[in-house]
Amino acid sequence: MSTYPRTRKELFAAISDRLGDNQKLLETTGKPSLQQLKVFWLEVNREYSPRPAPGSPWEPTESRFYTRLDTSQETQNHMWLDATNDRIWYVYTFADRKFASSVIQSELTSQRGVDRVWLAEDFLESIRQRKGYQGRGFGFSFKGILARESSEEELPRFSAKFWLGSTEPTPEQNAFLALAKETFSAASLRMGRSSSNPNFGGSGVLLEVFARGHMTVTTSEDPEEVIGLINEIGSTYASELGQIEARRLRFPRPVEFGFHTSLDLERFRGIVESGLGPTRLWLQRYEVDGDLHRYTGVDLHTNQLLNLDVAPSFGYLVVRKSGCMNAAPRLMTISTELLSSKTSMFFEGAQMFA
Amino acid sequence: MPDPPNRIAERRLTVWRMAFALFDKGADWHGPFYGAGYRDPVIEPILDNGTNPDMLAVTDSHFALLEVSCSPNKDFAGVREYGKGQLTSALKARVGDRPRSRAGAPFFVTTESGIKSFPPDLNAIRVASPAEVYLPRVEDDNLRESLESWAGFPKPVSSYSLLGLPESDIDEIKLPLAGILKGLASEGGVVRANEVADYLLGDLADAVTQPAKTRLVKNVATLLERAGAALSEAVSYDRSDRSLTLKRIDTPAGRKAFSKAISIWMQVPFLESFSSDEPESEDD
Repeated sequence: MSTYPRTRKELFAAISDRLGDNQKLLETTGKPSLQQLKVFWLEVNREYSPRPAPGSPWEPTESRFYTRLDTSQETQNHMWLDATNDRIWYVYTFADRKFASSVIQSELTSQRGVDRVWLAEDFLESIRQRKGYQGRGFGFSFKGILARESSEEELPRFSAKFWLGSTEPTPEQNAFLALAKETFSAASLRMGRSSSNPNFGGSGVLLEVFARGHMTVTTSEDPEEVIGLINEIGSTYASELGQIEARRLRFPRPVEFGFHTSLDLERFRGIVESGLGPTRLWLQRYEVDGDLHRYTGVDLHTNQLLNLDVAPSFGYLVVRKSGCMNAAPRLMTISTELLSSKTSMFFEGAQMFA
Repeated sequence: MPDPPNRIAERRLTVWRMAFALFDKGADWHGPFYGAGYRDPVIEPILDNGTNPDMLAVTDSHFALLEVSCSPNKDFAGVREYGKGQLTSALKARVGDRPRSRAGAPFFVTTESGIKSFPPDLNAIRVASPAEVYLPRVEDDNLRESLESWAGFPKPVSSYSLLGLPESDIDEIKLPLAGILKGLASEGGVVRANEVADYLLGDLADAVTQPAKTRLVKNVATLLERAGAALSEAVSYDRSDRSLTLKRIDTPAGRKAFSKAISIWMQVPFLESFSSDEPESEDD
């Protein structure tokens, strides 16, 4: 057991070694490793000071650093939680993403005050541009839960992922991709750069960042670059949230959503008033102002009260004065997955997280 | 014929929301005060002459005072007094202390028509459609230009967190209170009528004095008592301290049952949903 990292220093040394090995494997065989680094960013509400529960599989092995070793068998399902930052936690693992997601959901985000980080499409794109990475593809996933079908199985579903190489697509291919981007908000963005190794013609960095707040690193020839990026995404997100929350304290300005596909307001009502379904909103409609239906209730991710006004093509979210603004990017992501395939998000007239 | 009380409170809620929107900017519109550089108004400030306008907002060079009202036959004497008041030291500290001149006479913000016949020593803005302005005394040229070119709000404005006002009656706060109870039930615990009143007042809560809240708190307490009877499976009311104790409801079945009970109490249809609680999957 002692061979596994138990401190930050040991973890980052192990990450460096693994990324180096993965890059070598790619350079020698042309195939990516199946043991890829995954990082999950979690948003923490300081009001509740959450911590992994004592006695849970998360063992504190350093100050604000927790190790979760999978002792059941010889697997890669070990996870590490860096809870140093008061607003953003970082979970590192080489485990299968679905396994890691399930552990995080049942053991961490189930706690009051812990939520995922929700990376809106514009935020994903701004990361890519800031790092100067090439776009290597994108994914989207939509299940139209507002459709009036008679059963869950009949609901309209659209999902796709585009893997792009390092060469520029043709104009025809670009037109096809542009139409997909106009119709759906991205659930993930793949990005990367060519290798600086002149003897290797492949990627020097290739990674995919997901709207649901995690990243998979397919390969990286420079671990420092990836570790820096992980921190940069977390700190940029925390900074943006903090700025909007500070402004919210001064004025009850709403976050405004634009729905590119019209919402069926009665179906929306049926879902959110019963508190069922994957939106995890439990609301009560209290007023109808023309096409605008006004709701108040709770966001079940955090149990915080919120006000949501919804029209077929736009909506307003106002969190309480000292409320957590993570509700805004969360609703944005939920909308793109379940309500309106393409959704935009504005605060004070400017796109949020752009 | 005078409006019944509930209609007046509903209209006051509307005019307050629109007054907030004057200082806001959306994806495809902006309020005229926002356009002239006025942001984040102070609600219910008290001036150095003891008067109490509804809003104060500043730019680097000017300060503007606003009165928010849906009454077309208002006694304007109080509003005129604002025009004689200056910012106190506390207000100057709050908005940043620097020399500022008046943006003009106080601005009367209303949803009513007929503002063109208002007294000429007041400015007036009709925020409901069709929007219009009456600007006999505006000193801030930027603000005048912004107001004169303003065509009104292109779509309904946000709630700006306002679910009720001190004068709201029981019927008006019943449905918002149902939403608040859903929220509180998701955690469980005890809530007092005064706290629920603050939820309803949203960002106005800090600006409304305790005596002014009395009627609203009483109405909330009445509703909480009724909730104790109508939703007795999940809540219980204690008359001694006007508090409601809520069981924690954290399962889909529990939420559905509580929602159904609330719908019956509110006499609104309960819409069934077949959506599952399964989280969405992502493809690698």
